[in-house]
Amino acid sequence: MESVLALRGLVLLRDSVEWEGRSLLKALIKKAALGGEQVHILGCEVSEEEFRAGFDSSINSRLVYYDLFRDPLNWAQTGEALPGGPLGALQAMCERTDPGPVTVALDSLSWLLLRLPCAALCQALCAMSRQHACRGGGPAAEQLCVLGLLHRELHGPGPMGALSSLAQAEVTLSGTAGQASAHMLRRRPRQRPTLETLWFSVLPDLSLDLQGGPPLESQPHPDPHTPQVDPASHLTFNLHLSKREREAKDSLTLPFQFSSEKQQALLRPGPSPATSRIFYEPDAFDDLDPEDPDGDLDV
Amino acid sequence: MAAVATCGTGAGSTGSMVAAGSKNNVTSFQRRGPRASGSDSSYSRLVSIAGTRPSVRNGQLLVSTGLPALDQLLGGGLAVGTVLLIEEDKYNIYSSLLFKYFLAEGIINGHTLLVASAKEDPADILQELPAPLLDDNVKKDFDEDACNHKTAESNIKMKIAWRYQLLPKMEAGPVSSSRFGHYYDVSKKMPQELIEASKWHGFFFPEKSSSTLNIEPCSLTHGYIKLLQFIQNIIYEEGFDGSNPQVKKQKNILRIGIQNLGSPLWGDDLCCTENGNSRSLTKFLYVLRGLLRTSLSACMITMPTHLIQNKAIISRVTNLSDTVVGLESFIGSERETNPLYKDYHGLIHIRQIPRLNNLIYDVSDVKDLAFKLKRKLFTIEWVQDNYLRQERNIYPPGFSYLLKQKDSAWGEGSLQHSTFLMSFLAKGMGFPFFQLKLLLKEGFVLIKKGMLRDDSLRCSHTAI
Repeated sequence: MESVLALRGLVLLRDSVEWEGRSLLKALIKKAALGGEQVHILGCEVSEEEFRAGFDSSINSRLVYYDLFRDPLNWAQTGEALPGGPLGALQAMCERTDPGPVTVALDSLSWLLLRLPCAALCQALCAMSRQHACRGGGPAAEQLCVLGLLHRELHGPGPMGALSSLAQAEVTLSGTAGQASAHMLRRRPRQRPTLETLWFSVLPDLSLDLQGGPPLESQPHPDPHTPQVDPASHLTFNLHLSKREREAKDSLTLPFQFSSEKQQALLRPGPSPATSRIFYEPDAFDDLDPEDPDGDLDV
Repeated sequence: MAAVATCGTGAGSTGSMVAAGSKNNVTSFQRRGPRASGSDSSYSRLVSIAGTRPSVRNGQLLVSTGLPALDQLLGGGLAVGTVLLIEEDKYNIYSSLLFKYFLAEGIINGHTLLVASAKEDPADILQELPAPLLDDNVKKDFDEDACNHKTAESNIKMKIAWRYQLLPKMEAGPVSSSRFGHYYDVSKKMPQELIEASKWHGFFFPEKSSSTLNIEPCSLTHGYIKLLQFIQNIIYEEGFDGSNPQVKKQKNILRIGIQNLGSPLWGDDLCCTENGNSRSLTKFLYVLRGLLRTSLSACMITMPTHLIQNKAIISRVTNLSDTVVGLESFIGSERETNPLYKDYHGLIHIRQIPRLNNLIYDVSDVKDLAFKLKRKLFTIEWVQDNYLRQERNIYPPGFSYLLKQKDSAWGEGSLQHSTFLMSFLAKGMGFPFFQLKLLLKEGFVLIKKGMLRDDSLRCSHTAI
């Protein structure tokens, strides 16, 4: 998983009901803290005590925690809550970071997405990395990592698609038979996105344990065998004939081909003229004159 | 045909291009240099702006999109005063490349640029433009790509018809002698001095907007209003619509490039919900088209239509744009494994071509178009080209083929032999070759193969 933290920018951790992502989030936070980065956490879904459980005291002292869980709407008016609601909290987090490598963990992005307009949230996320770059003097791509926990089942394809298009990496959690897997899709600015799958588990002390692959007995066949697609079919023109078409084509005699049947047909005496007759009933206006059938003699 | 003096004003690149052209001249026609005023040209009464040319079909003023293959598909280029909408591919790799080609073409031709984006700073976008390819470099690159299929015969072909290597295989129209579309090298960046010599305006939405992030209740989102005002100001102040009496300089084209229009970063929730503020984007396009029609400008917009949830909006947007091109990349889709598409990176769909002062469309006949991003170039080809390419090596273009109908009733050598002469033009698309294939399937037999006798291709060999 070192490769995940090596990537900066917006990282979406998409979890689901079966495969929760908070433990992975905490494991990544621990790694960042041990690596000497500043860590800021916006806690919205669980209480601070519950979130901090599992970290040892040295790490806990390094985490900067912004609590939106206890009093999100600031009813208590204690004055220590961050102004401006969740968006204001995001901006404040941004302003309080010092230049240098920073990891910001949003627990969870789903909570924010349900309460804020999606467009505003997207703009705020982009603004975070930009402002950090302005202050820090280094390119934001190297310095800031925003880990956002996103619950897949809560959102429709619209917001998910919008956030995916902004993210530099998406980690989708799933798994088989008790073994969790992370499918990581990484988008680099001008290159093709890469997809890799890692099997992992999070130990009780919040360190990551990477496994090579899923347990053997439950390894699913990756793909059913896809039949070879014939490139010459379903084109705008077709180069193949069906059996019926081929038979019809072979049995067709070309018009200028002088086959023996045609020859015989021409040589054979035709049907008697008696069989083809013209029947005509003269009507009142007809004036049939046997000597002048055309009626043009001026007599 | 007298060519309009359309060479770009970039001094370094065009000077060497003209010099290279005269070195390899096999004809007595000389290209008019940029210094010639074209006073005796039949097009002198047209406005001759750098980087434009009139359309051969209806005289509409066209600018190049930066990709000569795409210019052909759009009927010669992008008409001045119209909008080209690019529907982005899923990971926005190739659409941003087309966007950069458009801007790079503007810099090479000396047009004024207006770059609007909500994601990246326009200055950063301009730093990453591809470098232009000069004439002799182009020939070398094409030869590199063609060397995989080199046989003795095609060697001859390349020596004689050297010029056709400069054309992409898609070109079906007449060869344009002046530099209307340029080729770019994606692996290199545009030189800094060209960018600094160009005139450009940037609109970066997060900087221009006020710091409040609340949604305003009016029908046009805040970002679009600001962008329209910015565009209108630039058009008026720099005199692109001729209404400003203080500006009295030579006419130029304004190239407007808007990136990721409709994404949430512009403040539009079109991509996020189905029932959002759906009028905003369509109103923006309507007003934008009005601004463009009354000024000498051309606009390219890239839009992530794959994110738009309400499909009716996509059709409305298509109707409000003039030219619509859709990109579909194969990354992550099941088409990646299809052997028909194995050499390509995606499909390109020409969804709409405008009817400007015209009753008929200008659409090319080819429907299955695919693109590929090679190391240096972006190419567009007919999909079946690849499939038929190995067969085309058996029946290469540039030759004529004499076929005879099998089982013909008349004897060999008689005058009534039913014979067909198929001659393939060197720049042939798949179709003439396809006719040969069909005839062979129908029972015609190949008798003889000979060199093409066709003076227009500058081959001086005798026929069969």
